[in-house]
Amino acid sequence: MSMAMAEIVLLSIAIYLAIIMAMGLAFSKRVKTALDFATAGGGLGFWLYTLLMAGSLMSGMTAMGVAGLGFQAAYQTWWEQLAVPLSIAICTAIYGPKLNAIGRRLGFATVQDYLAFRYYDMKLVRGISGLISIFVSAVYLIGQYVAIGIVLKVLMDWEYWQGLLLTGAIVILYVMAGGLFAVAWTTLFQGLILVIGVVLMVPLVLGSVGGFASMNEALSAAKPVGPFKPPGLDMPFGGFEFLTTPLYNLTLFGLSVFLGLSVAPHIINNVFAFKDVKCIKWGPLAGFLIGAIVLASTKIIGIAGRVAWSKGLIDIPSHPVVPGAKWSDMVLPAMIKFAVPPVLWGLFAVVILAAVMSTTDRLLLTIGTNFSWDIYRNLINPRASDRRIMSIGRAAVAIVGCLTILAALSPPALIAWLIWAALGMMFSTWFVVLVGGLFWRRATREGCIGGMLSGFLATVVAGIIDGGGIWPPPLGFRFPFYYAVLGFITSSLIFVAISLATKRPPERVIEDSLTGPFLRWAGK
Amino acid sequence: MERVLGLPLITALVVFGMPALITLALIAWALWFKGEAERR
Repeated sequence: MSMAMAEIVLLSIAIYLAIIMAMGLAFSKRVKTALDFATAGGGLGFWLYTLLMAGSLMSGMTAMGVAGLGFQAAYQTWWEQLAVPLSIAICTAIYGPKLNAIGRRLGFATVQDYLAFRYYDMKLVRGISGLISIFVSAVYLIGQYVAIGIVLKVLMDWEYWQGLLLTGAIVILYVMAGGLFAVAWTTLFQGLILVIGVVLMVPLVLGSVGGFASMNEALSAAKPVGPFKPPGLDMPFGGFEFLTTPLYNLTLFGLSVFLGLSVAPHIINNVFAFKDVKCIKWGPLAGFLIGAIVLASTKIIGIAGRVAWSKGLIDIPSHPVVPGAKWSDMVLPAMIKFAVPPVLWGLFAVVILAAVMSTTDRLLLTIGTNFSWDIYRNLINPRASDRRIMSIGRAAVAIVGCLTILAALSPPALIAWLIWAALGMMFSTWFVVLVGGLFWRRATREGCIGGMLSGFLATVVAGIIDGGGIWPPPLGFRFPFYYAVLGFITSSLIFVAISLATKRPPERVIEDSLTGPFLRWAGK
Repeated sequence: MERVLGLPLITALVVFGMPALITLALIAWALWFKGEAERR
C-alpha cells in the first residue's frame, strides 16, 4: 500500500473519532440523571428505537465474524441471518411490552434491576447475575478486539498485535474518561454507518466475482479452507450442504444464538428506552428487516470471498494459532482491498471500526457497572461514596480491558466461535429465569439462583468438553449438537424443580412485577 | 442434472423464501397486536 493510501485511511479514522467525541459531548448536556443516561429518558420513538436495536446488533462479529463464517461454511450458516435479527424481534415483541411497563412504573433501567425486584433479592441474584455478566461480556470483548486487530493488519499492513494494542488502548481510555455520555446516540450513528457501508459494498463485491449466479456455480467447486473442521460446519460446498446436520445448525442458530442474543444485556436493555406502542407493533418487523439485510449482505461478501480466494484473486493469510488453517475472518478487509476502489478504503475502515466500537464501549460500560454496583456496592461495601464507586468502575474497566486484549493476542480459528460461546452462556444463564420471571407466578428466588448458576456452570463444563471450536476436544469427543443446549436444559429443570419445592413468592411482588401468563398489562 | 436444478432452486428458496416467511409472520404479529390493543 502506498503512503498516500495509508494517510487516507488514518485521516478517515481520525475524522470519525472526532465526530464520535463531539457527539458524546453534545448529547451529554441533555443527560440529567443516571436513568436518562441508561434509557435515554424512556422517550425513544419508533425509528430511533428500531435503529438503536439494529445498531446494537452491529459489532465486530456482525462485520468480520459473519463474513469469516460465510468464507468458511457459505450457505450452511444461512440460518444465522434469520436467527440474529429475529432475536431483536422476539425481544421487542415478547419481553418488551412488560419490561417497558415495569421499568416505567418502578424506574428500572436494566434487566438486572428487574430480576433483583422480581426475585425479591437485592444481594445474591444481583451479585451472581453481575459476576456472570462480567465474564460473558469479557468473552464477547475478546471477539471485538480480534476484529479490530485484523482490520488494521489488512488495510494498513500493520502487525496484528500493533493494531490490537493501539485501538484497544484508545477504546479503554475513551471509556474510562467517561466518553460514554451518549451511548444510545453514538450506537445509532455507528449502526447507520455500518448498514449503509455494507449494503453499498455488496454490488461491488458481487461484480468482482462475476455476479450472483456465477458465484454460486463457482462455489460448488471451491477449494477447502484447511484442516480445522468443526462439527456440522465442515461439509464441502455444493447443492444441499446448508441443510446438513440440522441438529447442530438448529441448536446453534435456532436456539443458542437466537435466544441468547435476545437476552444479551446490550440488546434487552434497549426495551426500557421506547415510549411508543408502535415500537412493539411494527418494531419487530422493521428491526428484523434491517438486521437481516445487513447480515445477509455481510455473509454474501464472505461467500464471494471464498470464490475469489479459490480462483486465486485474493490472498488470505494463514492463521497464527491454528496450524495449517486459513485466517477466515480476514475475508472482509481482504474483499474491501480487492473489490472497492482505494479512495474508499478509509470509509470502509471506519465502517468496521464503528461496528467494533459501538459494541466495545457498551460492553466495557456494562463490565464497569456490574463490578462497581452489582458487586462492590451491593456485596462488599454498601456505604461506598459515589466517587469511590466511580473509581472502582474505572479500575474494573482498565483491568478487564487489558486482560481481554492479552487474550485476543492469540485469536480463535473464527471470531464466531467465541461470540457463540458468550451467547450460549447468556442463553443458559438468563433466558429461563427471565421468561420464567415474566410469565410464571410460581417462579421463586431460590429457583432463579439455582437456574442461573446451574445453567452457566453446565454450559462452561460442556464447552470445555466439546472445545466449542476454540480448542480441540480434550476427550476426543464432540456433541452432535451445540453444547450450550445442555446448559439450557439443566437450567430449565433446576429452575422449575427448585421453584416448585420452595415457598411461593410474596403476592405483592408478583402483582407489582406484572407477573403472569399474559404479554401485556392493561391496568393503570 | 439433479445438481444443476437443485443448487439454484434450494439456494433461492432459503435465501429469499425464509426471510419472506418470517416477514409475513411478523406482519401477522403486528396486526394481531393492534387488534389486541384496541380490544383492551
